[in-house]
Amino acid sequence: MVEIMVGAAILAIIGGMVANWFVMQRRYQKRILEMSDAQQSIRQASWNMIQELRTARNLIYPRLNADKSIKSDTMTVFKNFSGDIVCYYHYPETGEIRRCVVPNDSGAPIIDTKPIATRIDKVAFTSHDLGNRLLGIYLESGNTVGLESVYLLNE
Amino acid sequence: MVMVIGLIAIMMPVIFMLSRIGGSQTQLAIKYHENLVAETVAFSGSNAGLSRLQGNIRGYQDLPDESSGEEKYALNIRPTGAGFFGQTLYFLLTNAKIKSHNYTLMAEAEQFKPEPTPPVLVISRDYWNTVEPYEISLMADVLSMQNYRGMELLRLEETRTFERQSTLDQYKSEMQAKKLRLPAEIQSGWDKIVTTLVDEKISE
Repeated sequence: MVEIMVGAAILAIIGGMVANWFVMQRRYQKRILEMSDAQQSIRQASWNMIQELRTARNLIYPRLNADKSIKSDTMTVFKNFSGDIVCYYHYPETGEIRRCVVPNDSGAPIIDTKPIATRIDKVAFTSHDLGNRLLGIYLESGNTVGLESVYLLNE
Repeated sequence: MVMVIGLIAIMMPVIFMLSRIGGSQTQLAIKYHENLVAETVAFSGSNAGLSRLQGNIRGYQDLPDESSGEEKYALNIRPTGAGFFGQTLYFLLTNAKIKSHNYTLMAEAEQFKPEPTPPVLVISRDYWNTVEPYEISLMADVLSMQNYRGMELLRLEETRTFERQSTLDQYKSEMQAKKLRLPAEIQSGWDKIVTTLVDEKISE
């Protein structure tokens, strides 16, 4: 009887330790997954935007304020390599960044069917001047943040 | 004892599987990070090419194994002729490759004569990028890139011609007319954007 009780107690202790370890691992994995998801969303968004911004020609919006202080907004507008007007803007309801091309002639605006980024909670595009060619991009997804800056190479 | 071994035998694959899932997600994030690093390295390689031209190094240059920090880039400077002022015209090509991700920058550069000593004046323009795995030292690949870039330059010519040939009022009304077809997020600030576009419109 005593042997069975001792055996049961040992088994309960080991079982408890294993269960606790399993719960801890699950929490840890969940946290890691959330963080890596957020990092992936931020990196993907940055990459998609910087690809086009790098060879763009002129930043139209945002621009510095009249008192030369920096200005941030949830959208940015620029002339791309071909001279057309491209807008990136944030949908806070769905956490998407979307792209719209406004032809710089008589054509109608074209809104991309797919978002260029998802799971983005906050966005701030900040103008840093340098001839309207330096743009800061702040992205927030969950508790993870990303900050990139891009210099527009063309005139 | 058998139970403990049995529990561990079940637990270990579960833990391993969970860690693999986290690992693969992190790898995706790293992939995009590498893409951005490749672009930055190519950009610094392009600047290095401009510095060489400013230092009065002339003619064809093929540098396939240059370093920027821990990463490598390739630089190819290809003369394409002479300009109106006797300046040498070049294609400036830079490529960076990190794992399977390629990034190539292609630009035109004009190198003037030193007067009287270096650094010489260098003008670079029309930077174009691609993530296709082109080999920048191969003429066939360079021609292919030139064709793609040329199509986008033709569109640039169209947009600039439209700006030049429109009056301020015509250009403003054309841009204003697009407002109603824009997403609501852009509509609110569109008037200010049109003002900037009109102020900076190209004229004859």
